[in-house]
Amino acid sequence: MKFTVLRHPFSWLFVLVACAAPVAAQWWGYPSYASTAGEGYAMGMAAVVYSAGAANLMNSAAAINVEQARSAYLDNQIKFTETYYAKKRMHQSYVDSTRNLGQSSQRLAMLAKTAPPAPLSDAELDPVSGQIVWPSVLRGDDYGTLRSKLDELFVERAEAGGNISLQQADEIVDSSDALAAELKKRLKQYPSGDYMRAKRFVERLSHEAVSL
Amino acid sequence: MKRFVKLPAMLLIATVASLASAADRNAEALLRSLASGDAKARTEAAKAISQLDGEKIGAATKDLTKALGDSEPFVRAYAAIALGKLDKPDPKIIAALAKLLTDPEARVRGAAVRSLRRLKPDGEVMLPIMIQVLEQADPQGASLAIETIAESGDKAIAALTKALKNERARYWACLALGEAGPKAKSAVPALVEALSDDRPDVQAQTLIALGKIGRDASAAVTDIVPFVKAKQPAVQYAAAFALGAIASPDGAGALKDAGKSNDALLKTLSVWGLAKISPDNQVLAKQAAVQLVAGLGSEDGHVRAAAARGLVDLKPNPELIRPALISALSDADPQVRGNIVEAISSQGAQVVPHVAQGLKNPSLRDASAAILARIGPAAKAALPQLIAALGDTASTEQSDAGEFHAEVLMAIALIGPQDPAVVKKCMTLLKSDNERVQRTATYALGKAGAAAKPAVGALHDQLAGGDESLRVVTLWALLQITPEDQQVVKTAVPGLTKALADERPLVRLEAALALGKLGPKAAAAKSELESLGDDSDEAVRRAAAEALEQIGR
Repeated sequence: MKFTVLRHPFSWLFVLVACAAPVAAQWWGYPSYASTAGEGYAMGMAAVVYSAGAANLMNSAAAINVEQARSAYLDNQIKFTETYYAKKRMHQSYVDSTRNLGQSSQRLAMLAKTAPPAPLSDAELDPVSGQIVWPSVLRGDDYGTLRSKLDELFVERAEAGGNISLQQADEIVDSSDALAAELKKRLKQYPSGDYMRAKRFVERLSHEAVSL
Repeated sequence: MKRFVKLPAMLLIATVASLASAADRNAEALLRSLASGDAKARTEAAKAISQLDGEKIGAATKDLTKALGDSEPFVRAYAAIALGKLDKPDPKIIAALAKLLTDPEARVRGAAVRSLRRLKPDGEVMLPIMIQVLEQADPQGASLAIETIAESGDKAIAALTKALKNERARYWACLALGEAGPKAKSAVPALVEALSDDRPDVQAQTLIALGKIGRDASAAVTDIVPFVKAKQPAVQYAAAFALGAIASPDGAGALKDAGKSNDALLKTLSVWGLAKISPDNQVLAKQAAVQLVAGLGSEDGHVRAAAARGLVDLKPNPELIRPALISALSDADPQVRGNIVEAISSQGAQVVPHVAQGLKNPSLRDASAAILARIGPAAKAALPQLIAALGDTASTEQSDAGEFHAEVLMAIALIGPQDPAVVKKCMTLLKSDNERVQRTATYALGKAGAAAKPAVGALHDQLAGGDESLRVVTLWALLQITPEDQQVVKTAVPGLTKALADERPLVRLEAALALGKLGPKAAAAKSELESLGDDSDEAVRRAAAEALEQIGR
C-alpha cells in the first residue's frame, strides 16, 4: 500500500480514506472484502458529509487563527473520527461476512485477497522504544542508510504513542519500499528462504506505518 | 529492592517460582529490579517482563499493576504492554490500563491503547470506565473508548445519552449514537438539546447523528431546519444531510432554499434530499439524476463523492447515468471511485460488456476487474477478456501489475476458473513474490476444484513457507481439489490446527471451519478447538463449536 502525500497541514484528512481499508484491516485484525480499486472505500452519504465538513472546519480554523490548542485538538479529533469510521466500516464487512458461517466462499475470498501481513512481534519491534531488531540479511552495510532512516522513524512513532502524521507514515512506507527494492537487487546473493523472510519482514514493517 | 524484601514470603516464593520456569529469564532479579530505585534498572526489568508470555507475566501481575504508576514513563509503558498479554485479567487491571489513556506521555497512552485493544475487555465492565475516559481523554483515547462502548450494543444508548450532558464527551457521544442508527431513537430529545452547543464540530456531529437515526428523528426536523443557514458550511452540510436522511416533508422547504445556494455540495445534498423526501415524484427523480451526474464532473472531490453516493441511493434509470458513471471510474479520488464502483456494480449483468472493455485501459483496469468480481457469476460474459487480461502483463515484478493480477484472479475465481489456461497461469503466479497474488491464485485454483489437479504438487510445495494466511488458503484449496486424498487430510489437520492460534480472527475462523468440514478425521484438533470456546471473536467461537459438533465430541 502506498500513501499519497499532499503537502497541506491537514493533508491526511483528504487521503486517510484512501488508506482506510488497510488501516482498519490491521487495527481490527480483519481483512476487508475490498479491492485496491476502491470498492472497499465506498462511503455512505454521512461519511462524505462528515469529511467535507471536517476539511472545511480545519481550513476555517486555520484561517481565523483559532487558539493553537483548540486547532490541534480539532486536528486530532478529526483524524481519530475518520479512523474510527474506517475501522467501523471494515469491521461491519467482516461481521456481515461471518453472519452465516455456512457460506465460506466469500470469507475465503476475503482471506485470499486482503489478509494483512502478521504484525511484528514485540521482540521484532519494541512497541515502547520503537527499536527494530533487523533480520540478519538486512544488517549488511548495503542497507545501512535506509535502516537508519527507518530506525529513526520508528523511534519517532513510539514517542508519539503510534499517533504519527501521514507524512511520517508515508516516509515509513517510502523507506520500506526502497529497502525492499534494494533487497530485490541482491536477491541472488541469499538463500531463497532468507530472502523471503527479509522481504516479508520489510512488508510487515511497512504495514506498521498504519498501525498503533 | 526494599519493596521486594517486604513482600510476604509465601507470595514471593509463589511469584518467583512461577517465573523461574522461564529458562531465559532470571525472574527473581527481574522482580527485584522492577522495585529498584534506579529508573534504568526498572525500565529494563519492565521491558524484559513484557517480552515473557502471558502465563509467566500472570505471576507478576501485582508488581506490574503497581508499575503502571511509576514515575518513569518507559516503566509505565512496558508494564502496560506486559499486562496486555494477560489472559482474562481482573477488571481492576483493565481500569488501571484505561486510566493510562489520560497519561501525559503519548508513549504511555499508546501502550495502554495497544493493550486494551489486545485484551478486548468485556463491554459491561468497561462501559462506565469508558464513559469516564470520554470525558477526560484526548481524541486517541476517546476514539478507543467509543469502539468499546459501541461493542456494548443497545446497553450503551442510555449511557451515551447521559454522556451528551458532558461538554467534553458530547462530540464522541454523538458519534457513537449516530453509529447506533435507528436504535438510538430514544436519544433524539437529548440530541436536540445538544444542538444548543455553539461549537460547529459538535453541532455537525449532532446533526449527522440525527440523520443516521433517520425517520425516527422526524420530531427533530423543526430544530434542524435553522442549521441549513448556519454560518459554517460544515453545519449546513450536516443539516441538509439530516433533513434528506430523515425524509420528512417538513424539511422540504429548507432543502429547496439550500438548492439555491452557490455551494455545490449543499446543492447536491439538497437535490438528493428532496428526491428522498418524495420518492414517487418522477420529475424530481429525473432532475436529481441529471444534477447528480453533472456533480460527477465537479472539481470538488466531496461533490463528486456525494453525487456518486446519491446515484447509488436513488438508483435512477441506468441508461441515463451509465456513460457518466463509466467515465467517472478513472477518478483519481478513491472516495469517489469507491462509490462509482458500487453504483456500477449494482446494475448487474447489463453493464458487463461496457466494463469488460475497461480491462484494456490502464486507468480503468483495476476498477473494471473489481466491478466484475463484485458482479460475480452474472459477469460470465467477461471471462474471455479477464483471461486475456491475465496474459496482458507478462511480468509480476511490478507491484502494480501484481495488484492487477490479484484483482483479475479474484474476478475469475468468483465467475469460473476451470479453464486449463487459467489453471496454468495460476500455477505460474504461485511463484510470485507478492503474497496477495499467491493467495488469490491459490484461491482460484481451489475454486477450480478437480480441474486444478495439475497444481497439486505446486500447492504442496507452497505449504513449506509463507504466511499463515497463505497456508490456510493453500490447505483449503488442496481439500477442494483432492478431497479424497488421505495424504492431504494428514497434512491439513496439523496445519489448520496451528492456524487456530493465529492473531487474525479470519485465519482462526477459516481454520476452524475447514477442520469441521473434515469431520472425525480432524479429531486431533479437538483440544485446540475447545480452547477457542472463549475466543474474543464471536464468529470464531461459533465456528469452533460447530467444528466440534461435526468432529463429534
